[in-house]
Amino acid sequence: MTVFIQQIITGLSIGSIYALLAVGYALIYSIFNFSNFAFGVIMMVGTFGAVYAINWAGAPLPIAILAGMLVAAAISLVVEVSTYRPMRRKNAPRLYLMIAGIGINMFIENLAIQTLGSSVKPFPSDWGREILNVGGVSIAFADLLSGGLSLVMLACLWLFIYRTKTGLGIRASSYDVNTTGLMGVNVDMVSLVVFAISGLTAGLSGVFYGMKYTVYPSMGIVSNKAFVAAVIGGLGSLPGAVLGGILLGLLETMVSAYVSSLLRDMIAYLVMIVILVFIPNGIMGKSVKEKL
Amino acid sequence: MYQYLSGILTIIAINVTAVCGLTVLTGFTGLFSMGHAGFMSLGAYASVIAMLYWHFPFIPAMIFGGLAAALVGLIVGYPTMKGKMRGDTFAIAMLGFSETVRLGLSNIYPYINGALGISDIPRYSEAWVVTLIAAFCVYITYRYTRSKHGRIALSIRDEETAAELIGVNITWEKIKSFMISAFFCGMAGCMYACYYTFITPNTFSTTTSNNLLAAVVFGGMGSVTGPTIAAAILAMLPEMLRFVQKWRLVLYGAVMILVMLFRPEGLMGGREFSIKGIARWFRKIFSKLNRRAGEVSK
Amino acid sequence: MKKLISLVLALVMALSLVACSSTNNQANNGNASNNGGNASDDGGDAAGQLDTDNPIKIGYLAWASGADAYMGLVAIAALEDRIEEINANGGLLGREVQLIWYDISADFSESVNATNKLINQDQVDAIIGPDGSPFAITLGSIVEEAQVPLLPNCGNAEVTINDDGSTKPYVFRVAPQNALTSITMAHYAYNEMGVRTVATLSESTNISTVEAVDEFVKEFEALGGEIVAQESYMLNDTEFRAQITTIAQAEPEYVYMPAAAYKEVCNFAIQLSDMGYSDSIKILGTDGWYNPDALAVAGDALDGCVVVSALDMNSENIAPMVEEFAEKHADLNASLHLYALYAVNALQFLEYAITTAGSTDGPAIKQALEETTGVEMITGGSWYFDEHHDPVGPEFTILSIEGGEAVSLGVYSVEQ
Repeated sequence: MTVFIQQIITGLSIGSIYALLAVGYALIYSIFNFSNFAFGVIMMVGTFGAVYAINWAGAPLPIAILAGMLVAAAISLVVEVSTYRPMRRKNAPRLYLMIAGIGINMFIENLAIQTLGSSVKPFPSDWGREILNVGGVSIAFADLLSGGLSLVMLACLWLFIYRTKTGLGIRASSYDVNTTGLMGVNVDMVSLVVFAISGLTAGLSGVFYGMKYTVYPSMGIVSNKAFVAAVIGGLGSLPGAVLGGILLGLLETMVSAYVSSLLRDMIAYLVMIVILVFIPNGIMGKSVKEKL
Repeated sequence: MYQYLSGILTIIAINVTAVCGLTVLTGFTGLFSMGHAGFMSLGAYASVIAMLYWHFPFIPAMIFGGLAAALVGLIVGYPTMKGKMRGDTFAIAMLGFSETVRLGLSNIYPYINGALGISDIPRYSEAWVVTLIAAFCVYITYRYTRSKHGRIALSIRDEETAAELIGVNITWEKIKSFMISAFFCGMAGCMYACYYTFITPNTFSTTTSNNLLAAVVFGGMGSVTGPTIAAAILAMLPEMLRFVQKWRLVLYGAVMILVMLFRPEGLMGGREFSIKGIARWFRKIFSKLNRRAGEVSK
Repeated sequence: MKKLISLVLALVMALSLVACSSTNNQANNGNASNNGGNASDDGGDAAGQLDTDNPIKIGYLAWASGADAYMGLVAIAALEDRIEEINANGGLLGREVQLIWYDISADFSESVNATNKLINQDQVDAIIGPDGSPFAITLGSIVEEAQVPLLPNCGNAEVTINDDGSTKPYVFRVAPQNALTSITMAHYAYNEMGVRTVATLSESTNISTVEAVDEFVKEFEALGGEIVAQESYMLNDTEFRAQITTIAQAEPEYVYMPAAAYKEVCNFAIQLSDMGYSDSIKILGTDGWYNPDALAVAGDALDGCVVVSALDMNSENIAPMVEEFAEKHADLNASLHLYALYAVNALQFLEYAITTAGSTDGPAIKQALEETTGVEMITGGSWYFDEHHDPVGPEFTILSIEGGEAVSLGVYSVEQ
């Protein structure tokens, strides 16, 4: 029984990271209707920001987390202003934005590899690895915190989007950007806010990921899992993204523990495909007409 | 000199063949996939088994590989198309499919040696043979997209509901496009196996899938010649960028961003490559330059 | 403006297409002569007359970008240092030595393309690398046709042996075989450490780790030991707690983990210690991942871990090299690792063979490599090749990791 609970905890712990990442993904998707494939490197740059804040400036952990989030938000804005916005202005279809995202991913990741080195760094704080032992089940502090912060982040996002005026603008532009612009909403401002928030979540999840595991330039690859989670949960739905992330984490852990770690991804993906065959819009996705 | 250039030509031909299939699926039917490397893998393995165990010659083995991939395409395509998957959902389902293929193949030991891969595959992929095959594939794809089938596919891409209303069997037409893309990718996988002479389940990765998708997008949706040219350029770009040594992949990413920024409609943007078109394009550019020069001199 | 930019882009593309081969040629020559130029500046004074017009060209197939770029970048730096030294001492046969390296990390087919380019365009006299088996296996017939010796530093049996059992004539392996490493580990664990129960952990689709685990399981069970669990993980995995929980239930004394990169081992070890199993379960490792950087990352989580390695990083020969490298190449942010040392050993084999044969002719180098009865390596020991072109001479050192430091327990070899 303890073992079973331990596996559940492990699954929730991976799931919470997937969930946090998937929220950032889903946020951009819900407004702009495209998948931001540069998300992985935004997360990576944020993590490195936090690591260097500690290593170079000797910042305490909370400041470092904040620094990481701000760095990620900044790079997210740079990506939006330099690439995505000019492309949207030219009415580029969303598939083209995704390919540009793959290009950005490749560019920044390899730039980091060649300038910072591809070797693995430990996150310069052991705090996240402190273990809480409850009746033979070990839970890492970072897990509790990342789970808790995901919820807080989600609540803030919900309040922001549904209870503020800017949020109203964001929701309006997710339906029709042009008309929203005509109604006097500064659409450019809205997109900046959305990308900044998405960058903040990427930075936060990156720091937790780095704290739990290790830091290296290709760590952004985990965002693929977040993309999968966002699709399972229903693209564009924030609660769906969280649900999808946690389900994916649990599914992977349970398959690995009770079926076979050799076939883990195979079975996890097969289950996902079966889910998608029956509910193609994901668990909490709304049925929208998509066009390339 | 000869081997190096013919090697690159072979890689180009392989890429072009695979992209031909994806053009039908993505450029014309409007479905995009992040997992067609899975079909390349299946085609490669099927044809290698046919060659090594049943002693098929190269071309029949290649077609066998393509057919095997197309059959799996039917099996995978039926539920996904029936379930009305599209957009990112379909792309992710295909990503899952290719990962499933990769892990599945690496755990089957009889015949294909699992994760250890098959070595000593005969090096059949001569540059001129595969180039001819690729040219033939481009021609077939071009004829196909200009036929009734191509128009139906376009109607699905642009207005799915309207196409359904005028009596197009959307599910079947999508499956058809999907099987065609799987067939070409399977053939390309066979050519790759016969060029590299060694395959493992890892040979065709997510990066392969992404490169194929990028080629279609670079080339322009709804064009056949565009993606062909783009596939060729993308295949040799890593070789062309060797002069920057370790900064090669950084530059590759930068080129991808720049092309998307300045040609967001793709290389050909739905048009086809023709001498007439080139002449017209040059005339337009030069007249514009002349006008601008005139303005400056004033 | 937009049109203009796209026109310029298109023109650049078209030009580089047309001039693909010639620009590459020039660029490479430029690059190589730059490297060589620097080297000859240093060497010019010492040796007097170094023939720089007709250099000896050594190719290197490097894994120099992507996630594990440190593998290739460190090896390139190490090889360049060594070549600088050679040129300062008058080169080989009075000729300057040049290193021409190409990155092969973007796609599988790159190792074939890069080899063709090295042979056809740069006309190298010999090729070192690659360090990954899937990239080396396919090169045997290419180098045989071109009669250019290839010295890969990777471990799969098929790198030097064809399916029919014949040896690839121009391929000489400079790293120990995976099978030999695994067998040595199995014997040491069973006979010297008295270990009876072991679990294994491999990367599910990685040819090297799968082969290493297969060989270990076969040997360890033949000795009478028991394999209590066989778990695996995927490429890019960082989360091992599910596997650890399963492994812990089987209660092994050790986990055999022949990973291809050290980050997996670090994460595994850290999670093992976080979950409180670090006292009951330890890791048996191989030189596939053993790297001084691993100890820095995992800290004391790796304590008690036992590693088998064909080179002893603590030996009087290698330890100063590691320090010197760290000082000289601080910008790489990576330590000198075993695979770079294998590449340097390959270069020493070539130095020996070219000097002995008195020419840079492929068949002559091949013959000299086959006939040698021992080349003194700067990493210690004297190495030569057996009839299957596998190295004889690398002695397996057992390292134990204690307090974040690797301690050598001495040389161990399996009694036949």
